[in-house]
Amino acid sequence: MATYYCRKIFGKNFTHNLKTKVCPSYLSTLPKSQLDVAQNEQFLPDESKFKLSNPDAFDVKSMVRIKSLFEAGVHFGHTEGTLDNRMKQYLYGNRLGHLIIDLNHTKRLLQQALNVTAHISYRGGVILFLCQSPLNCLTVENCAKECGEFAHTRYWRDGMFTNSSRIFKSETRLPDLCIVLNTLSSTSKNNSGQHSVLSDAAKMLIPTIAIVDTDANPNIVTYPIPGNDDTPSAINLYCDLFKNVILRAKKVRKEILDKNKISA
Amino acid sequence: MAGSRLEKLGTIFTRVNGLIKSGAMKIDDRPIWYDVYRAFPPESEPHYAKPSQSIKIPDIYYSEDIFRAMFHKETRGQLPAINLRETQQNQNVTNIAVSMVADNPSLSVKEVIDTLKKNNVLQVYKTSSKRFDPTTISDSTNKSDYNETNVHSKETNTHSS
Repeated sequence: MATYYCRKIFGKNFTHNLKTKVCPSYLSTLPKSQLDVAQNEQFLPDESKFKLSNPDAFDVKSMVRIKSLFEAGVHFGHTEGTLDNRMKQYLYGNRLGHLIIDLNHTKRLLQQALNVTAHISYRGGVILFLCQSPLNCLTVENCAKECGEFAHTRYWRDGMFTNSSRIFKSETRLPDLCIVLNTLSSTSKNNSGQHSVLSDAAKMLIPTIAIVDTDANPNIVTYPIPGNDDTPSAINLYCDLFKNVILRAKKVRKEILDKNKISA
Repeated sequence: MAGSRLEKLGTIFTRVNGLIKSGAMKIDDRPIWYDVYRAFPPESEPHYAKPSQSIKIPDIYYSEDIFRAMFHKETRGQLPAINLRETQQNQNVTNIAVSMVADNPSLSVKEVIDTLKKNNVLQVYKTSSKRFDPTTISDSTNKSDYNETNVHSKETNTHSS
């Protein structure tokens, strides 16, 4: 019996056996792709019900057109000197000292962000719109109101997410998705002017969608969208897109809920 | 909800994954976005310390840039303001001038400015306000100050012609 096991271990694939016995894959320090980790756990009972197998279940791809992005001035970045090097990959070029954002990247990333927004809204997630530029406050607040979601466009108090039960004096439901339309503001001094919601949301395990201009840091944003975050016409465009996609997802959700009610 | 608040390590997805694997978070208590993120992961993972790429940013030049520079030199201080809410950007004066030259390359800058003034696209500062038709001007912000500079402009016009 012992010889049988010995032969099995010291057989042809000795080195391989040794590796798997001594160093199981979960102890390996090598980087592995994110998605392998929980793959073995079967916890999506009926995937078709959740619309995740379809890459474009809410038909958001047709909503974004490069022409409308261009007309709204989404491609205008800031000056050359204010460039954040982490935004270099999204740039098209330098026009007489002003940076121009590549709208092909913007289109693709905006479509993905809209798709994620639709799915989270379809699942009944709470969505929070954030913006700190006084020029565009009202647009963002109206947009949130029209699609039945929430907006925060004023001064961000520290601990609004991380210490919410103390600040709001009761248990608080945090949003499931933050859409940040302006990541930089001149008023906040910490984080080198970056909106604190980005790090706070990452702390509280909330995904963020943010419009990042050429002077912003896209790293901690879950779904960054390179684009102009100052011009009213561009903010109007983003707001319209997010509003329409949220309304569409809510409509689908309502239809399915009504259908289940009748059949039950 | 249990959770790690170290936002600089890993991504929100890897941290939730860790909680699920260690049993701190039950699989039924997973956040709403978890399945969505798994199905549609972002193109580049949102790591805090992601290094920047070293890409050279190309300069953008057009062949009509020489004309545009000359045009702006001539019309300095006379161009009307641009409406930021307007999405039709090909309606501003410089674009109209550039398209005129694109149609007919033999035009000189002076000729283009004269035609624009004739068509009232570019404002002419004349003493008799009867010949001035404000309806053709798309932007109304500069209307009020045309009387103040009229004498000077008239002089320069006579000199140039």
